[in-house]
Amino acid sequence: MNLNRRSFLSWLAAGGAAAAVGPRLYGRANADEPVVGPFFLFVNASGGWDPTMLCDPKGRASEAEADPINHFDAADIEQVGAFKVAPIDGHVAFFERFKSDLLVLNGVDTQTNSHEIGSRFMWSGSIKPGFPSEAALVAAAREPRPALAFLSNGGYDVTDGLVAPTRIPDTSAILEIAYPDRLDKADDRTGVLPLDILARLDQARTERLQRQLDAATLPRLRHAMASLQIARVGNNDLARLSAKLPSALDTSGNPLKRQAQVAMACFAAGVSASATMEIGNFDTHGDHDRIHTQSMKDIVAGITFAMDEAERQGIADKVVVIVGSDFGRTPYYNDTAGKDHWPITSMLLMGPGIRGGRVLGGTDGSFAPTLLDPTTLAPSSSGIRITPAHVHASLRALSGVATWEGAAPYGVGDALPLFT
Amino acid sequence: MRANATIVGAVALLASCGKVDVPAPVDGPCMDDATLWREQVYPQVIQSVCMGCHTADGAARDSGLVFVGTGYPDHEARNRGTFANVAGLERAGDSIVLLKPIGLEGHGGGKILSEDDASYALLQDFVDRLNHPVTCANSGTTVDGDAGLTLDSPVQTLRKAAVTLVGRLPTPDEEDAVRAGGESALGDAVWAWMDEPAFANVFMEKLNDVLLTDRYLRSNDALGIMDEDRFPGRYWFEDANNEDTLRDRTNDAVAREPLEIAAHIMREDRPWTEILTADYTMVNGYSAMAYGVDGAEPPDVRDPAAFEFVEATLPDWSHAGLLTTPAFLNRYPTTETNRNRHRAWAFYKTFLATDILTFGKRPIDPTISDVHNPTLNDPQCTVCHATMDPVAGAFQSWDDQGRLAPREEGWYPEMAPPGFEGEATPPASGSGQLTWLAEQSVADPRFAIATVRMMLGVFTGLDVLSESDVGDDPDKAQALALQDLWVADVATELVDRQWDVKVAIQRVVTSRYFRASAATGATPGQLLQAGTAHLLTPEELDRKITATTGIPWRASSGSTNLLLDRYALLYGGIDSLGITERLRDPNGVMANIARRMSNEVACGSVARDFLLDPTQRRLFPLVEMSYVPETDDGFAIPGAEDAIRENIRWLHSRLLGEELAADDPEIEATYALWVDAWKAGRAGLADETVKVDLDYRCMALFDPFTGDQLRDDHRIVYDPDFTIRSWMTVTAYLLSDYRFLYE
Repeated sequence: MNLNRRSFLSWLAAGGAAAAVGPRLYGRANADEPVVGPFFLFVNASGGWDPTMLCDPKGRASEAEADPINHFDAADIEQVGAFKVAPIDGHVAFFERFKSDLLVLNGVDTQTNSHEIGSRFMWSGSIKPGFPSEAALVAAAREPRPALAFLSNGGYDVTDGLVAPTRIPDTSAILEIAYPDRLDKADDRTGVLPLDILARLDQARTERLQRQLDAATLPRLRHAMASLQIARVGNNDLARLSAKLPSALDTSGNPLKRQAQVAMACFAAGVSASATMEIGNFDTHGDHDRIHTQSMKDIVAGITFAMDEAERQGIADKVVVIVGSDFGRTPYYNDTAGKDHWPITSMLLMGPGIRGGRVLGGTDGSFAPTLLDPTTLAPSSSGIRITPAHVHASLRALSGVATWEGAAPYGVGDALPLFT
Repeated sequence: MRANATIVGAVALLASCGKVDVPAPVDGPCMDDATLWREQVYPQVIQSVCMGCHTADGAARDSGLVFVGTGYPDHEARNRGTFANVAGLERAGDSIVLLKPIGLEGHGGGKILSEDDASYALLQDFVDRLNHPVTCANSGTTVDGDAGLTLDSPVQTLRKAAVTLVGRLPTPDEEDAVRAGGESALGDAVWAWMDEPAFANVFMEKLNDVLLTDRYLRSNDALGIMDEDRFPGRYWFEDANNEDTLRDRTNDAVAREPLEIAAHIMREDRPWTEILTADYTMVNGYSAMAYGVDGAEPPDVRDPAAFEFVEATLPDWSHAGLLTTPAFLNRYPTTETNRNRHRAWAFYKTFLATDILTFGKRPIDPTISDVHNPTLNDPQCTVCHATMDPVAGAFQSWDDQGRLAPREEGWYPEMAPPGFEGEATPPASGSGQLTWLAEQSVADPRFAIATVRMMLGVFTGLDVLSESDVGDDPDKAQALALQDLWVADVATELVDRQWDVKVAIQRVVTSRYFRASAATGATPGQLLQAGTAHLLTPEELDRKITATTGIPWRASSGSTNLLLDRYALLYGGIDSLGITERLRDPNGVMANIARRMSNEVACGSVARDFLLDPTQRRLFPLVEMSYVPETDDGFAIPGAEDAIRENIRWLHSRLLGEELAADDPEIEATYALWVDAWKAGRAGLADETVKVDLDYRCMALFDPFTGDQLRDDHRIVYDPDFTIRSWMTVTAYLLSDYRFLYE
């Protein structure tokens, strides 16, 4: 079946989603079993981070240097495994812990200084509007019961109708939502009606919605009905999730930690295939060093916490982490000690299928990207710039999205051998 | 008025209202010139390649080939005409629009297309057609935007509009009037509803989805963003009795200021242009104290009049509608280096239907740029900044915290001077530059277009199309063309009728975008946006529950409605701060919330409804709880089954707006559910696996609103025939139905 984007959406509205992803069970015997991974976690440093304060540090020769890229000394840059590490508290420990797992891509060209466009390019692989986020694509492709497949904590979470995003900013109500037929959430003897009648009611609901869908002729109505139908499938998923949620969410103030707790619980429960996480305070047009240092500490701490949580949930070997940002920041400071927008940035990746302990790409002293040979990925003056599109093409090969016909309308080009 | 004349002219240039030339089939062997331009040349070449520079503020602004965006009502005719004029210029027999893109004739942008590009072939084809027009067998025929679509009847639309606009069901009198008067009466009813206080609240709620200024509600934030030097009384209530109450009310009054200005304009039939140009703001008894308005006295917390908003002018303050409110200025903040650019972007996007960020299409590469002051001189940057920076300058008198603080040193000399669309602000305007900007903007034809697009989006939940959405999709191109015509037509009426925004809202809820329910033979472009299929927001669903069942969905009497608080974000709502986009499709969490709602509301409403006199009942006016279809011996009870079926018809009508015949299969399906539940329950009662008494939460013991205990002789505790629970089953079935959760 050769689908263009328009016909794919029409086909989705006609209820084709279940038929398309149904066979993609990824090792499961049937669609009622939990998702078994790998799970994809996309971490967004919102606002445009400065890689020179993390994984692509430059430093300055001395205090006397005019217009330095960084205000720390080049001599203070640490080497941990394959990685050069900016001298910020916690960074060395982070790279020490993950030095065998991490793949750092430096010199990634987002081709924009616009937050909106950069965020879109970074997380969809397309600089043009309308493409779904990679997280949405993964969820739609990998999860036959997509009621909770895509957990969104903000950022670029466009789905183009492929899958409904789920937001769980607060978990205090999950238990009562997980058991909607109980009047008392904790007491299975308090069904609002006897169980046999509830089953009959469920059957009636399902049949009625199918009749409505069969009779609808407008695509928008069909899409809405199909969406409701999909959302109702697997309503036991929340019960499984509630058993995996921690008793209390983190209160440290680092938003990534709460998000990570929910994301890892969703993964461990097998109800979600992908999740986005987001942390802000990177758009430092003023007072860059002070604010950005704290933001970098927070994101490093957040990723570490997420992996701790993955280990606690027993899924650490099944989680693919992708970290990126709208773009980078200028290789110089402005008049208010800030840094403005710059299209060159870095990405961090790790997880099953990604060979870690490596740095690919780079930047020069002006923070311009090194060109890479697309076959060998070695620096080459006749090479290409690595863009988010290349990364997404490779991610799709890794996740299996590339061979899913539903992704055909959202092509981002050919994959490079980034992960092997 | 300039805007009016432009819009009228635009509509006259285009085809007849609501129709576009669309030869069918679009994908067939023959495509006429107009269609080729609209569906291929414009989206695939002009918009995606040329308009990176060839716009009024782009790098090629002096080239003579300048295109306009869809914010202009006549953009299609203007752009096609512009292209045709320039295409007529030739060098050695070749049109310069074919030479320049391949880097010849000193093209400022260099080579941007290759001769073997598909885009270039499109250009060649279209230029050739300028001399050799192509018509098809059915060229000249038109597709009406409404053709092939079945719209809800006036009575059906009446219900849907009532739920949407005023959060209630139509009264019998309103239904009778529309049944008799048809479309005209429907329009009258909609117009009348917009005078109801309930609509003002809905109107503000909808507008907040765009403006997001409710971010400052329910906290101290709104008072914290007021200028403490200019308004030293912002915490006027400190140490007063009821300090917490006074603080909350004052905060919310300041937070709601932008939306109250909008509601005031709507309510008083003022010109919608005042949203930007009003030389006043809106205060109530609480915020008047915070602002130190002349004559303000501490309000009595028991006095409802203290909540009423009235016009006020602040001393030494250059008002510009909502633009100069603390809530707006802080919701769209700036920094020392951002220099109001974020505000300028929001201003264009919200009020002029123009997203500046879509101007810059080409990949930018500052790593190879050595242009001094790139935002003023580098074409990669000026494509956006030439439009954005003058408007940013017009905001200069308001600092990063929204305080009126004119810059003593003047605007940044390295930035484009303050102004709007090529016109500089008058030297003497001082802190009134924003007022000047507002006046210029409302005279721009894009302001009326933006207003109609805003109302279309917020009252239908539709993703209103823009040219950047189209790409290479011909269906979207057609949908956009139809939408543009409709929007331009409504914008014309809006201006003609003294900018009364109710005109736009009335047109929206009587349009195909709100009313289409089926299709027979409509084109794919028409179908793309027809019908609402709008998943109700938490607020809308909350109102609908109360409107139909008579009780709100709460954990207990006196607590906040669950959809407005505990489940608001989980059900896809927004907090106007971190979560600013409503979820349009349900997920598993939302499906379960809807299911819990249907169970709990059925539990809480059924017995209570039976307590009422049949003439007062909302759900069960045609049956009693003693009605069962057959005796214990299985003999039919005359009339009982009919009554139950009739009440099921009533429920389908009341809860879902479905007017079904008695023998409709859906009535049969619901009746079968009732009977199955009743028989299963009766069997359970017989073998004592089911109790006679209801769960205490489903009993009618307390008044749902006051929490007061009901009289002993006015309670329902037991369900000996299992009829209460059979009706609960059916009620839950309908409350969780697509037609209840969507409008």
